[in-house]
Amino acid sequence: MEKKIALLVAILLVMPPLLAWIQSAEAQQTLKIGVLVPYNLVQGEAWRGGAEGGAWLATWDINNATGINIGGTRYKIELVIMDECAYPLNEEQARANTLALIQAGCKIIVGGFRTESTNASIRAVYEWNQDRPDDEKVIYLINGASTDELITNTVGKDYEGWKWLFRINPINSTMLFKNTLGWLIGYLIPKKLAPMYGGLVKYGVLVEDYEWTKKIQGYLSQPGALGPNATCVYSARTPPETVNFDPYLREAANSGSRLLLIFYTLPTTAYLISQWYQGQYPFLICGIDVYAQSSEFLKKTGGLCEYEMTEDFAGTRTPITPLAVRFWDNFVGNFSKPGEPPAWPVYTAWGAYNAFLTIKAALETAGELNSTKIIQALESQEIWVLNGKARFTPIHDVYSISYGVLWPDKYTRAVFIQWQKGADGNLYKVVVCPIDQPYSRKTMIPPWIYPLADVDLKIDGIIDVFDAVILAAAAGSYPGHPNWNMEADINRDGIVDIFDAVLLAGKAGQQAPQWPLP
Amino acid sequence: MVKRMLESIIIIGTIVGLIYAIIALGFTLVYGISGIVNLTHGVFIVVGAYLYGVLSDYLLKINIFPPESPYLIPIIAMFLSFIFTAAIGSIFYRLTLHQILGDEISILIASICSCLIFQKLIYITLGTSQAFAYRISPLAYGKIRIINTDVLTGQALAGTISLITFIALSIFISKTKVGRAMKALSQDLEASMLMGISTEKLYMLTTAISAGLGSLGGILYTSTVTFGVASYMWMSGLAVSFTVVVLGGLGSVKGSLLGGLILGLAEISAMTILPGAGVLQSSIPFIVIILVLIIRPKGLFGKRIEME
Amino acid sequence: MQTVPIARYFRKIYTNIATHIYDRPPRTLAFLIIIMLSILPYSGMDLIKLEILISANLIAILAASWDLLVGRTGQISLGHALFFGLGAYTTALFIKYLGWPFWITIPISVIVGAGVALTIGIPCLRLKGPYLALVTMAFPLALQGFLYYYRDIFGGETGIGLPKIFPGLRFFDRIVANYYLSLALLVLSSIIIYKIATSKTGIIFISILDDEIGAKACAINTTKYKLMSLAISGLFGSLAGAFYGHIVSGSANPRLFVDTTALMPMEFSLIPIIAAVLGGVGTIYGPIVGVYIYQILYRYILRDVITFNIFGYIVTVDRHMQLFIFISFIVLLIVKWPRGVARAIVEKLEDLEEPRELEEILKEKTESKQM
Repeated sequence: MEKKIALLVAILLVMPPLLAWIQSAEAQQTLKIGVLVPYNLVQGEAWRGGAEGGAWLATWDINNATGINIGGTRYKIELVIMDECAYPLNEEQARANTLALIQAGCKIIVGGFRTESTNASIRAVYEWNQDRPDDEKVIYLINGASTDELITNTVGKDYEGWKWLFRINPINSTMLFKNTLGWLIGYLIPKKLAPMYGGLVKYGVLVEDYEWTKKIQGYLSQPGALGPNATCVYSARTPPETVNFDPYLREAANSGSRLLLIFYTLPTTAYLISQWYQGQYPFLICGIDVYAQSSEFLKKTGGLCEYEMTEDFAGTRTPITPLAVRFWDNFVGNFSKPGEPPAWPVYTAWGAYNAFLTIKAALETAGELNSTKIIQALESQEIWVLNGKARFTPIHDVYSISYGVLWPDKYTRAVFIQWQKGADGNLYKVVVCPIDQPYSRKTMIPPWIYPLADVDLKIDGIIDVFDAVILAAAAGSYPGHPNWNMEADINRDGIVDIFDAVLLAGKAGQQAPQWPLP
Repeated sequence: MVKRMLESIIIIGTIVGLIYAIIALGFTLVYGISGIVNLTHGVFIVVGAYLYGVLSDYLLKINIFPPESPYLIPIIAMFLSFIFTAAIGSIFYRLTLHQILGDEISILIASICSCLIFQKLIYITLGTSQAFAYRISPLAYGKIRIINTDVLTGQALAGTISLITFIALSIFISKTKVGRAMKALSQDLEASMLMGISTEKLYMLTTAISAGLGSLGGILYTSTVTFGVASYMWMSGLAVSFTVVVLGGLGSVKGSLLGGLILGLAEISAMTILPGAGVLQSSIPFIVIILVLIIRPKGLFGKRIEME
Repeated sequence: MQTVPIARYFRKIYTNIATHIYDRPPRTLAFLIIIMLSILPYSGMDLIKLEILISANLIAILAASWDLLVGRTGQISLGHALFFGLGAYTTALFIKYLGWPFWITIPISVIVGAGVALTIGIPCLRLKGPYLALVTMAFPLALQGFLYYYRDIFGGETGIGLPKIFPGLRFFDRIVANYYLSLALLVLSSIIIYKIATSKTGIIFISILDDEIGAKACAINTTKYKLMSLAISGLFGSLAGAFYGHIVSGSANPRLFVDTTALMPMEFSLIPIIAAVLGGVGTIYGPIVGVYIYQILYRYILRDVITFNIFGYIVTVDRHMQLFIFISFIVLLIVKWPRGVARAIVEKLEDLEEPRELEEILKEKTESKQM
């Protein structure tokens, strides 16, 4: 009996080597670029706004135009997309898929959203590249994973071994956090909240229990982290599977928080935000909420996400650069599925598109498919991408120098958006930081916290002549005008006019029942 | 201050314990009557909760009920979920476990694999994001005060429903013909068969009731404690079920009630005394099982004492 | 069967082949298989596919150890991933905090695995069937919470990185080296486990499986033998886990215990079970075959979304549906053939043979017994 079973085994094992692996021959003048996309996540599929869409859009745009001109020959891009295996997480398969891309002939790979699968992926490429001469190394552009260590522990520590690795998107976690700090310390706390709460703003920190939030939570819990006007009164971590955030929100409220900083990548923030809205908790919510970038989030919260502020690439159809609106429209037009929320591109989609712009520029500078030359081109180039100017730091991370409320240099950075109701009653992502751009609008305070917030321009608790004076000083202005005052644009239509005055007059004489606010 | 803390631990612990007891009830019932350790019980809890959530959302959406009676939707959804889960449970039993009755190892293996099947089924029918977390609307809002402690109304309601179910079940078992047949089966299999009790039909009925009870437990738990259900919650549902049953003994209904109360009290005391250990909270049932089984393997009211 | 002349002829040929190949001593067959596996890397196959087999080899060790415990000694374990993760984490912790090289830490983790098995065995093996199953299932899940709570020590979800075993080799050479290492480990482990299973101790194990009370009546100290079985099982499980961490996953991470959001949540606890069902519970090499089948199916054939055309309708079968179908199939197998499907297939194959004379069969049986 046993021998017979063993023979079955033998038969089964002879089969794999008989299955030949057919390599597709590289067609002439085709350049294969591999893309790893996190399927099953919003950041992945095109119809949900994910990286897949950005990659396709870029490929079509480039191929339908002049293609890529490498040393006089015109190349077409052939896209090879595989699953990054981020969710459900399967690191072995991520490694296998990366190697499959390389074996299919891809010299350049774009990918890496989730830290664990990206680690597996770049480890595979590292091992592969070790045996290859510099000219033939596979180049990897990280799109989506912001963990600092992905670059600092690799290119940062062993340049020679890892010089083929770049991150094109997003700016790393430390920089993302600095953007948050810049916004909070430069504007939200001193200009909006501190006057409302009598000079001292109590805030809480609520994060998901993952690695990346440890440092952030640690920093924010320290006294003085957000300046002299703010103090941390609450700090908690939620297990990943939490869907009931009420206990945490309640505790945050009980501890006196008037601002809650959240740091989440999980899709369960839809529950967090809708519970916050329904419970009308007396604090603003602001932070990094990756899921809140998508239109799916809007649908999932049933619209109960108004006033949430989160970091993003761009608002809804915001002209960050002249290319951005066209990208947005093409994306939504091409990939939206009927019956589903519109395919608003999330940051990985923007990043994927940017990656292709970067690759095209580098290849054309290099003049040949020689990795050493391509790497040199990447290191020295500075080009315009969808959301600003792009270049790399010496250790191949995203170069980003502004993280405050102003953006004079136009190097890519994170923006803050707030979900706000437009004139048509629909919710849109509106850019509230940086504040010096033509599309920036004022931050709104939820009415259950302070109903007079949008007309109280002086933030003194009473709607009186002082507010009118501020409005008058900015009357007739628009972004770019010397008198422009974003706060005075009460209806957020981009111009300070009679409509704003009417809104102000309508609430004239009213005052807050208690000032400063409790 | 300590007295107040003790009061609140006892009260909240009891209520949470009642919910745990009803979750475990189906598990112990099926073992007591048919001798099957049905590890699929965990997924019935989850499936019941999902059905409840989907049904109540659907009923809300199609808006056929007047808004003056908002409690109508939860009741109907609970009822329908009970029936559907019971049906699923008995069909599942008939197709799988019935074929391998008597082969303990195979039953355990088959039921644990079936948990995976149901979990994947949830992924397939509802999609990945719903399977990751699905919001269940609260059963009731607000708080009520019981002896100086604030308790969520929903939880108090759940505890009451649980108690009523226990009473109803014991009446069913002792008074009705079918119930008494079940009791007979649990006491002596051969004699019952000699008396003409159809084991096959009764086993199916038992599994149906147990699955239904599981779904009830799941609904109560997810709509009053977590306000959401995830497809992988069957693991912790199973953990709770067998912790309760280990504490109270496999096969004993009274034991399930007692075991649930003990677990509830233990968990609430642990959470009150050591705050901030949110992650450890989900491990508590497992730790309790391991400790109890090491110290006293037969549980407290074990029906079939399985040890040396 | 049919009396059609051609069919008769084929049946005769088949019987000839069967009797001449099947009836070869098992040792020769095993040797043949090992030879075939060894030349696999040089048969012109894509070496990256070899990584699937490396992983399969190590998981097969885990499955064989599980089978010794469950199939031979009857102590059901639904949480064998405990040893798997334990092996990886032990070697990781020693490497990270004490800086010892892997060729010291891996033996340590093997010993620790056996030790932990003994420690939890003493209280837990008193339990029977369902209770034991539940406790074993609880262990990996309980451990998970601790791993995340003490994130700084255990590295949270990224875990602790583990160094490569062959750092100096080139990429493809390293894959081949890892393959031979894993194959050697598998062959060695399965020989040892098989020898134990067929020795006097192994027969005692089976007696515990069959009738524990009867065994005790024969003055056998069942507790001692159950502990022995568990310790051996834990030993090999940790061995597999430690090497898996070094060679395959590159880190000791919590997903080696249980991963709630993975495609298969209790992966390393359930694979031995599925493998045993496919290959035959109780035969040591049965689960090894099962692991191979599972791994090749899961990693090589069912990789991504499968799309095909039925009468113009495009049907996509995504990974969740694939797993659903697969596990339903497994449950079907358990329900229909509780003792393993390979055995059933082989029995059916035997029916195809021509009936043989009684003396022949007796002769064959005595010959094989002598092996």
